[in-house]
Amino acid sequence: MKREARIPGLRRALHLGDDGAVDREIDEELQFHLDARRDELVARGIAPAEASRIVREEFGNVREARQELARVDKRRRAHARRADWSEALVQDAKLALRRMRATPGFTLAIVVSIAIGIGTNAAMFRIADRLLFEPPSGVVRPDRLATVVLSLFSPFDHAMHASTVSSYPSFSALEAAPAIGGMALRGHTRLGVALGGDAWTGDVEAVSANYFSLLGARAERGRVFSTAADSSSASPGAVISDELWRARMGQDPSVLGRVIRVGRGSYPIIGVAAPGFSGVGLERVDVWLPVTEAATLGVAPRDWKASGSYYLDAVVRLRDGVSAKTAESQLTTSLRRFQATNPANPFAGKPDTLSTVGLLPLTGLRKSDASLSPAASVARWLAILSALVLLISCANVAGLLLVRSMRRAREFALRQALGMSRSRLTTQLFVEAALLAVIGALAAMAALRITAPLLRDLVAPQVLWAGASTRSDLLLVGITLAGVLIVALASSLIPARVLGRGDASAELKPMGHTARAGRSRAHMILVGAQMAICTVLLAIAGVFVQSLHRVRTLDYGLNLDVIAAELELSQQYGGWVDQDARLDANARVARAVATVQRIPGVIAVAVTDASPFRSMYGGGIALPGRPQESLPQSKTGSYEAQVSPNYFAATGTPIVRGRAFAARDTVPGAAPVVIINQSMARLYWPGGNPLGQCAYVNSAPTCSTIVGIARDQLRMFVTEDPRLEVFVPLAVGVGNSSRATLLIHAANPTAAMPMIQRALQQLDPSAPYADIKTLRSRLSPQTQSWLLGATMMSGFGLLALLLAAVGLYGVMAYTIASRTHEIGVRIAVGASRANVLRLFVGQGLRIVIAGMLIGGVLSFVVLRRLSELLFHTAPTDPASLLAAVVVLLAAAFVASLIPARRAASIDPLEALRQE
Amino acid sequence: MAAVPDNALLQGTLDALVLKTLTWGPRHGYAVARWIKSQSDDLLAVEDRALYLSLHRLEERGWVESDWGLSENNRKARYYQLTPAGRRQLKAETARLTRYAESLFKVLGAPSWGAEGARA
Repeated sequence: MKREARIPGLRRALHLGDDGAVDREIDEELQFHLDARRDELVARGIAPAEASRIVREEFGNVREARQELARVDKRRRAHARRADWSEALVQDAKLALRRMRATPGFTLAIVVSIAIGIGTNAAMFRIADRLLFEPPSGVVRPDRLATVVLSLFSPFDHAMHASTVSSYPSFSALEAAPAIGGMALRGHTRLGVALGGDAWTGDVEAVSANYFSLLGARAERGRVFSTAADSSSASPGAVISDELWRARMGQDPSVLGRVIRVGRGSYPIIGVAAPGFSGVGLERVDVWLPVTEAATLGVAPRDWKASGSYYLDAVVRLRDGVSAKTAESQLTTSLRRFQATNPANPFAGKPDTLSTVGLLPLTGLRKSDASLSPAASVARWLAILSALVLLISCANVAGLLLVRSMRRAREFALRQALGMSRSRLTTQLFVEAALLAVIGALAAMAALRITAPLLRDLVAPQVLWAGASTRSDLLLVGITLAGVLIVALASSLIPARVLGRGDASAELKPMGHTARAGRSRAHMILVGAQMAICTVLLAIAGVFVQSLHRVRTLDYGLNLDVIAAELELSQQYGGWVDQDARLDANARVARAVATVQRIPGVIAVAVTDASPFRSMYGGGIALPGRPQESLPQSKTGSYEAQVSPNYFAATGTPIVRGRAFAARDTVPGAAPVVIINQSMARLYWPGGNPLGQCAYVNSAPTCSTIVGIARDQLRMFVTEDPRLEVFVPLAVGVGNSSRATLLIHAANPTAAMPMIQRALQQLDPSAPYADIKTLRSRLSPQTQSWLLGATMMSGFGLLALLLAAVGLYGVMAYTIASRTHEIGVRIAVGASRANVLRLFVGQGLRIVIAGMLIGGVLSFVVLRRLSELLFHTAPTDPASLLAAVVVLLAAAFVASLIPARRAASIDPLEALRQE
Repeated sequence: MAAVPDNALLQGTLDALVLKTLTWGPRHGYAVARWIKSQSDDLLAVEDRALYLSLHRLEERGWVESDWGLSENNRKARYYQLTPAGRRQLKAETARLTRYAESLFKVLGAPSWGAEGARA
């Protein structure tokens, strides 16, 4: 007879062998008819040849008849097959539901396992997709758009540096390339925004007039910028985002015409962008303004079109049919030509043959140097690791289903003996697993409604997470279905294979549990695999937590609880042309300092022009008798800051040698003094003493005396190398810059900040002072990725641990239950309860240790690839690995102890009586 | 003899005839063909091909079922028999055809144009 396929109906479904049977039977039937008729005619006396002819005539076209009949018959069989199938499925489903209701605890454990596995994956994949692959929303044909990246050679460190930000003249030179169908410019910045009574620090983009039309973006209300209307700065308007309109204006229908203040300018709102639109980038934008306003906003100098300062990035649309490579080479040629004809422009880059222009697709959350932002890199890893969590939960479910099926092993053996095929068994298990998976998936979807927004805000709060789009819906559905399928297949095929392999007759005999030994092994392997994966995830969590700890305890060189308040003093950018304006600004700064000092709880107020983690000014020293070329070069460059005398005390920056500035240093006519930082001291005076030496600061005519050495500070980035810095004392005022930063040391920063805000606003009501933050919060976008990594990886690790512990508990409980008889014998024969305990806990731990060893090896491989995401932590950091091992062993110990204790307290008489 | 339009049968009526043929027990396809021809004195021109199509379609709809057996002269033949659903279908179909024939005869046998009273 025919062999049974492992999956029922597979052979029939694939029409293997049956078609032939249908055709054969039809041939036989028709042949019978033709022969019978011919015999009848011959018996009547007609010649055989003539008889055959008549028969054929009577019948009609035999070949066509065969085809017709075959069609009908095949249709009938297919229909019957389908009916069989669906009947069997319905039966299996009913049976599965009944079993689920009968063991609610079990079902709950399985459903929760599945929900965790599928839910994590769905959330992580969606996040990773948005941060890595999804094109910006509201843009027409985003595949033809690209960001321009300039790679220029830096003489400081003899390396190429990529950047998406450049100057207007540079980009104008590139626009003429024939491959480009259009270029739009934008400058992204954060400024104080005020609307009605609300003031906050918002994200503002200054964009060229053709920005919206190049992207093909439409307005939801009003209009967007157009080349015709917005090229001149006659009466510039603002376009706001849909999110702003919803969140802060309550979708006010009379939004058009209302005035919004950005920086020091006021603009009527002329349009609301479409929902989900955030320009070419993923980060949210609150307001778009014409790029002609850049100077008013303080983002660029007045002569921004001619100036070589960097503050813009460019997006281009390629002409149809032009490849990116062609465009890149054309743009590179244009750039080199521009550099050759503008050698005087310091920002055009050194003219050489190494400068190149690249084109980046719009997908992916990137930094200004065109590399992927840490949030995106972390998200990618999270998606991969969430797949591991899914595997664990599959193993868990497989194990639990195996346990349940094993309890019915006798019943299965009986059925098999009575003729039920293994394929039916597999189908039953599959249907049950699939139903559980679907319920789990639904539970996951429900939970995601709450957890997904939290996760998104944790991973990348600066990104605009538009509501559901077709792409995200499809992705969600696709992942969920894939998850359900994987879970159902894995969770049913493994037990089916294990169960079906057994010898039915051995099972049915008394003491049939001895036949189950082999199945226990499969169970052990499942748990061992879970432990291995769990080890990897815990190890990863460990190094990330370690990383975060290192970030948190890093010595920044100053007190992070200091509050920084930015004073925007002037509409001029870079330098004071008007001395009266400068004096006026000085006075304003002095008033601000005095006002803030009076606030209760404020201990000290310092002023600087170089805002920590925000801005720096280049500048260095020249030493008499030591020509500039002879001085050692620093890779990170040399910088200057003008600071009030109490700067070091207020910011908590220690002076390691010498003294800090004093008030007398700022009196006009006092001897000029400077303070340098440790790096500069070490570099220019290795092993020597710079104190008392004479230095010319920034080509000043007179020499300043070095009176102190300050501890190195981290100036901009957490991951930076130490920079050279020189500090110049400043009478309270503005120095050379149009901005001043107050650094306030307060006893209780959280309480002090709103008071500072009010005080400063009273002084200057026309400026929206929204930028008042502690240095710690300024840093948080940078440290966020490590916080993210530590939180998420720990979360995954804990999830994995929970799942694996439940899995271990399940297998231990089952093993003990099935060996009750044996335990009874042991105890009766004299084993102590402690012996029994040790036996089973030992068994449990053996599996765990085996899994951990495998997991440990895997961890080495995985962790090495993660090293770029860590901070000052080696991938094989022993403390983290040790912690992971300890945690896992502890959990495993507890998970095996509970069932083991039950084993130890078995009454031997009861056990022996059991079969 | 080729299918003659005069005596050609509609597929539906052929189904009814076949069902009737089977009321006396299982028959193979050839026996059904022979019986129909003999009963109708060879007037009902049943193309054999159409008959087999009818048998197979009847089986598809569940009104007959088939199985292999041995014929009178020990050859393998496919036997068809009525199912309970088939019997019900035969009854319904007979009633329908009878009503159809009656109304045909009523029209054809009408004595005159305005013979209202001939309505039964």
